[in-house]
Amino acid sequence: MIKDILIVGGGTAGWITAARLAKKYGPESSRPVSVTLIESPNIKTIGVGEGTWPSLRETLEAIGVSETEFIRDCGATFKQGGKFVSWVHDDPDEYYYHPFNLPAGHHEINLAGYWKSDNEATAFADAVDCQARLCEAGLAPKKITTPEFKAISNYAYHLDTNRFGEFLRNICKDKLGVTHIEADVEQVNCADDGYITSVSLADDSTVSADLFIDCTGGRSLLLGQTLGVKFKSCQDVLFVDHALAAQVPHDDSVPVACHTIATAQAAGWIWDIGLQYRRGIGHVYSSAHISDEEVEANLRRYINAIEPNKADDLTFRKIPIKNGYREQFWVKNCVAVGLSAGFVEPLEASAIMLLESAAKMITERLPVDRESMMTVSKMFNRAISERWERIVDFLKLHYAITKRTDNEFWIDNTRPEGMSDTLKEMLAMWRHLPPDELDFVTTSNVFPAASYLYVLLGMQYSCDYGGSMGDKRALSTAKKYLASTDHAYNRLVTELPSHRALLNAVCEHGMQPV
Amino acid sequence: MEDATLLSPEAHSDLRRRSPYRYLHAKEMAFCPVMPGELDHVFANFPVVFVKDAETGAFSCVALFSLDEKENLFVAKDGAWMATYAPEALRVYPFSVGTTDGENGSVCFIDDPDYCSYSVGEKVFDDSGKPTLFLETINRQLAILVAGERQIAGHIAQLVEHRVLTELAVVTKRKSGKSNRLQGIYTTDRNALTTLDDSTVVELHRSGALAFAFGCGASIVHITNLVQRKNLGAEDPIVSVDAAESTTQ
Repeated sequence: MIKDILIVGGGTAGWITAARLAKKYGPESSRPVSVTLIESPNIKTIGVGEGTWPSLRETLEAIGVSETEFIRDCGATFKQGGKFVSWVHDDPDEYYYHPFNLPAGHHEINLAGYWKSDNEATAFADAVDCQARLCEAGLAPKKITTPEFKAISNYAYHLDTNRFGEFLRNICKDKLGVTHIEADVEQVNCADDGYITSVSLADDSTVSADLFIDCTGGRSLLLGQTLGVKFKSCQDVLFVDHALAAQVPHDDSVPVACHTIATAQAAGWIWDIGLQYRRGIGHVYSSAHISDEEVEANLRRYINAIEPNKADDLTFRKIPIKNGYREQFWVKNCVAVGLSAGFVEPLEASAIMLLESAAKMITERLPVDRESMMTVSKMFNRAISERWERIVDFLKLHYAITKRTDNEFWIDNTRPEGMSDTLKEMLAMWRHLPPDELDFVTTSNVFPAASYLYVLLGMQYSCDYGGSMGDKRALSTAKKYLASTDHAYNRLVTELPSHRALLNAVCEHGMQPV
Repeated sequence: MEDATLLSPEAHSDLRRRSPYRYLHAKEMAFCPVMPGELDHVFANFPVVFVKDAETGAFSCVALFSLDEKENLFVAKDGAWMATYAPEALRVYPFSVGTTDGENGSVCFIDDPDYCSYSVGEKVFDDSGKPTLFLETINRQLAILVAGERQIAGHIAQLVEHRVLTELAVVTKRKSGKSNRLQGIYTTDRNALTTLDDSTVVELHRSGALAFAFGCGASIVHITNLVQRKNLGAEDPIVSVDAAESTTQ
């Protein structure tokens, strides 16, 4: 019987998994289990990972967190999507948005075939929705009177990952009954059948459990090192192999972007994530295509453009990136969540979203015994593998159809050898048919079809969706929805506060739970 | 809106408030806060709901006088109040409690000629400059309003904490087919109230919040009254109104 769960490793992965499990299977529940988390006092968490997807709202609500406390304690800000600058051409004024809102009328009609009929100069994202315009105007996705976790414009968060870990740890320990052990794991002990029985700590004590969750980060102590599950690199698809990261402080009087800014560079891109009191700025790059010196110079230039002379006071942190994921994620009684399962560059902030997905699946399908665990683990592996493949394809999409030729990095990215067969086939189909939910196999897709559409059209992909238009009634429906986005913008622009104003109001007054 | 002036026996020795009392000052007030001491009366006459402050998101509890902004269906053209009960918060005008620097707690007034006179009506100060019985009554009413607001806020905090408040969707349909959905109005959730655990029930009962919550919930039926009043002589009357706990956001 699965009664005791041991999570090895803290950080976002460990604590979100602990919280999900402890909340659902607490002492008052119909199936109480014990949740213990062992965290090393010496091994630091990765310390970056500040972008999220709207799924985090559901996760926090499920755990019983107050959105007000989360925003106050984790320096968090709202995120309405991503702004991609200079990805199509090496032009600093060119950008497209990948917003979180789905296009108007998406439940009824796909506007991909109809949006071009009006103004050629209007971007797709602006024709089918107004969220991108709200971001450009620096507006928040909701009002102080909007209840916690509810949205006027769909949103996620930017957060301080170190504070978030502490925040979750406190909730797990104080409210959810998670047992916390601060110790280094010296040894992982297995039985003859290969199942993990316990871990041994530095003081020679052992902690046993029925299910072990590996949240040890890239070292993958349990799944990778102990059970020998191999890491499948996809460095041949996603070329970037390092990031140079910095934090630029600012105070609560300056505006803060309500979206992640990803600015393409000669051989990589720079992320720019605004929190309440600082901006996380980092240069992701491929060392095969650019030197460390050039990268540092690019980063300094970017930072100085925002805050003149600030770059000189900052420390830059070099972080290696190994794109790839494990061949399996749940083997016997060990399942990996977070970096121990895999990692890809943060272009679409998929890391936290994926670990949330894994934690939710483990919680919702927690096996009762070893027999059911064999089946659950098979399904888990299938679902998570599918997700990794889709994420890699989706990230590659941002590079694969660029028109930039200013560096071998971009030219190499367009070569077919660096794309999965699925992506190549999809791209061919997407020349004439717009992406649709039917294109994707899984019931809970990682990215909605609309996301692919936002990126394809934002990247100015050569496609013609005129053939997917319907009859006169469809045309009239499309016109109605296209007209509605301007109305929505005109209304919202007078109602919504600025992003910074809302953050300050949340910190001062808090949000109502209802 | 005129600024309120600090009331002083020196400057305002001859000030009088006109009689009889009229409610013209409230003709564009679609709602006003309710006081603990008058709950039976307001529950019996008006929908009593919760609304949020636009700047802070904080809830307050108010009696509704119309489903439309800036309209009061209970103030007649001549200023008469058209229900059997007028809430306390509406009966102190033109007097108010000062909130400017250094004057916290002092009585102020707006020199509104419809309400103030220097020749007819109730005297505010007597010949020796002391407050009249009338002014003392006003002072008491103002004090009740301040204390009452705090007490209601306490009830609201308890109801929010125990997840008893819920958004109300009020959808009206007119004869022409036009439909309108009112946003931002909250009521108490009867189901949530009946499923509270025992210790919470006792806590809310002892504080008065429980009776308050049930009263607010029951008062929603008065929305029909508002619709009936609105329809008097209307060209495009409301033919149906549906006030249900909102399930979508």
